[in-house]
Amino acid sequence: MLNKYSLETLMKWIFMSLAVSMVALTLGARLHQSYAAKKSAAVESGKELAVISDERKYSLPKEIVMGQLGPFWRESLPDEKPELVIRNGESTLGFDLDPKSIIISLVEEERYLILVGLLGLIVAVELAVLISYVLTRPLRRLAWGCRQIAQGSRVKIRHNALSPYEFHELTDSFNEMANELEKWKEVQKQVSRMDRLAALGEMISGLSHEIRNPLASIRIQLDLLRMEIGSIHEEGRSSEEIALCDAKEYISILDSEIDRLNKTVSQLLSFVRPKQQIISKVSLDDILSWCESMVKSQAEKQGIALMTGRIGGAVSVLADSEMLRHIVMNLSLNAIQSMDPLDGERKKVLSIVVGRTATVNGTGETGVIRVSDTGPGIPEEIQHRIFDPFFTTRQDGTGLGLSIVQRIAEGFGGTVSMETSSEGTVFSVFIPLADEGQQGTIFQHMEAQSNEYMDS
Amino acid sequence: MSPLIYYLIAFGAYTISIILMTGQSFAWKETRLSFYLGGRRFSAFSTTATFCATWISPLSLVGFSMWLYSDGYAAFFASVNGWLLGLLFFPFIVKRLRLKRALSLPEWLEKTYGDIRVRKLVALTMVFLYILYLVTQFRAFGIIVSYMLDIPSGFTSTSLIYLFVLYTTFGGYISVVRSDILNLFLIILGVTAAAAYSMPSGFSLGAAADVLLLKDQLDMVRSLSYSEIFSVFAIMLSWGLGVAGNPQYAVRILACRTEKDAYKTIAASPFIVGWVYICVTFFILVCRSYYPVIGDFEETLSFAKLGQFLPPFASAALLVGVIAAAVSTANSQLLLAACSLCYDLFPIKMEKGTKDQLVYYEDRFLVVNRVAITVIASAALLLSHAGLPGYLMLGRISWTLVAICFFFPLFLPSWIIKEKLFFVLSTALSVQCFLVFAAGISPENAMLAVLMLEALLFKVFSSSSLKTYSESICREGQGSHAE
Repeated sequence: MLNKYSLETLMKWIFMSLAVSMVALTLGARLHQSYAAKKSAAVESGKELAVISDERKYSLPKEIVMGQLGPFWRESLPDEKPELVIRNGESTLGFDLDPKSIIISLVEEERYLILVGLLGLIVAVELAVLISYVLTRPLRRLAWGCRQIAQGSRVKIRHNALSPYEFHELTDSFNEMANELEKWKEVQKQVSRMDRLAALGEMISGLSHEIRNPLASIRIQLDLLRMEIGSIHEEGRSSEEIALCDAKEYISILDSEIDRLNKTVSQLLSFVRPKQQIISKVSLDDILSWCESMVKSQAEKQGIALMTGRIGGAVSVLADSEMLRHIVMNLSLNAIQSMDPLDGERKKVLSIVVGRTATVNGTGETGVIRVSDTGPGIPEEIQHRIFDPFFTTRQDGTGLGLSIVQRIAEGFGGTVSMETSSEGTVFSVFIPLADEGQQGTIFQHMEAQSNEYMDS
Repeated sequence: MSPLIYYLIAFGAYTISIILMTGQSFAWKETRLSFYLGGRRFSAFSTTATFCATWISPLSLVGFSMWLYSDGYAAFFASVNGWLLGLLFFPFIVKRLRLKRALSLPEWLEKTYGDIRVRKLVALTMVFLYILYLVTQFRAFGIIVSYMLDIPSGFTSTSLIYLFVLYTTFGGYISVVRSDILNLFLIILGVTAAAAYSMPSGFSLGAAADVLLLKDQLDMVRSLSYSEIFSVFAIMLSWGLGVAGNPQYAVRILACRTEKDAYKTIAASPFIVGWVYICVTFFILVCRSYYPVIGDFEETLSFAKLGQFLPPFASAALLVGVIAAAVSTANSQLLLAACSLCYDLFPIKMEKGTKDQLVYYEDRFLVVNRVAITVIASAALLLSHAGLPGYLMLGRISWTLVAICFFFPLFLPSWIIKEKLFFVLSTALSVQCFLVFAAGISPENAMLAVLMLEALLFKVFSSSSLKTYSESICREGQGSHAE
């Protein structure tokens, strides 16, 4: 029933009713008391005048008698039985009390009290308004926070200095709930990703098997056919020479297409069934010098300047050296391709930097490889999907590069992160350092990770 | 029954009605837009009510009445004609005002002329002049309440309007409009009752015509000297321009739901305002004819004493009407002063970077705004006991400052060189203050001179810029010939 009214309206009514009751009670009591006192004083003075008039046998004009009686008496009407009878000479005068005059006189006397009552009323209502403000503001913020969470946004409600303790507790509980929900969402996202990947892996394994067998057979048959054609050519049947040349060309195209198909299938398989990682201590300086020899030529072909560097002293990490190179190569090729659309807009620079940095939780250090470009950046709407398998923006891409990079890094017990803006993109691969104390636990972790991948 | 009883009942009823009918102070979903302009969703009816209630202030009820009582029709020509002349300007600015979607008039000036200094200057002037205005409303209210309740005029009586005004202004424009609807009703009721019951022999058209055409009343007009006629004309012009440039009305045009509603408001207002003036004029002319001497009292008190010639209930209605006029004008002015202070002069900047910022920002902004409302009202309350000049004089000072600040920028934009507006306005305001406070010239006469100075400066700047422009065109022409 009350859901149509705001807290402020209710509070206002409650406070006003209280104030009105208080004012009415105080004023009523005061007026009643004064009324009784005035009435009894008027009756007393009337009786006194009647006695005096009776004793001294006065004969005065009516107006003088009324003046003596005061303003609270009036002359009785002809059909009224008078409350007070005064003998005036030979005749008698009848008078009645006039309650209206008493009330008017009372109100005039008590007007300050009435004024104070009115002031109290306004102050009470304004207090009600302020109290309801203090109560409704935090509620409004909480309602807003709930709506934000329902829309999928992350939210943290701030404390209101004017709110009482209970609201602070409520706000803390809300923030805690919001945090837990965020964590839960993250876990659900991971679980859902793992499920999708498992299903994908299963499908790809079956598919690869089905494709590879006929591919092997096609390849063998193709090799046999090439050999046959070669022997015909050697025997020198000149009439069919031109047609044979054409057939050779077609076969070589078929050959390269089968190679491409085979490569794709191999990549698919390496995604779903990664190779067993051989973890050892790898110096990131070695990776840096390898990059200079392998990536430089590729970058220069595209007019991109390669910059390599190391922050701080030599860094060694625990990883599979071959796979680490695979990661760097993959990220470098991505970076090179991302700078294609620049078209002289700004200088194209690919930079690969290694070093060590603080871990996310700030408790220790980790090795890092940063591959950055000066490309146009990754659009915001696809940023959350770039590590998903088969997600690609290129026509000839498989969309597996970054997901393989992520899987390998996770296999080392590391992580991959990305920061992007319109000025360029930076991929950072964090890998555990090969410090003596840490090695045991990290090996155990990586072993578990490897087994998990192999199982999937 | 004693008139005091009537007055007490009327005042008590007014207090309870204001509390119950002016509604919410802190709306659940409020923003700066809803606080200053009620979310721009008011119909023609509500806007007309608040427009007219704000229009009728104690200055226009009491000041005009007592001038009419002493000088007859000359007061009517100077003030009522002047005010209604100002109303004629409004239709020309409806489109321009609403186009910029500004929340305040200083912001509108900044958006139109692209100079933040103009916004700050005008906002500062508004804070100053509205505090003066508030002082006049507080005083008038205090005197009427002390007369009605037969208490000494002092802090108690003025503190009542302080509480009323805080209560109605805390809710922002929405609450101001609600209280204005009630206030306008009471003003109309009061003046109508006063006019209807003012004739000792009872109201009749013949008797009314006799009063209006009384030989003395007309002779006084005929006997005006040329200097008096000029003075009447000057006051009419200055009050008219003051109305035309008054931000209180411009804000109401901004707050209308549609442009059509704004035009409807402007069309309906003269009838309501006109009715109020006709009733007041008739009542005062009757008093002038039948009770030509009431003694030497302060203006508001004299007006209240004229009420004693009415039956007590009509007198109570009239005095409550004056109280309502004071409250309705004061809350509107208080809101504008707070807006100028918090939104235009010292706006709180919004921190960047967080998504939830806007909600907290609006909250914080409105809390600060309410604190500003309390501070400004408290300052006005203290000043109303500080022995400033008579409230008619304060009204005239404020009125003329409004015209100087807003008339040209609102109505004659083609004269204005954007870069020079700040210079011209600051010069004009300084000259006006000098003429009024140092040279002792009456605010209206000083204002006419200053407006002419403003026009001259705008003209000089516009022709010099035109000259520079044509010279540059010529130079370009010569350059291309040489090539």
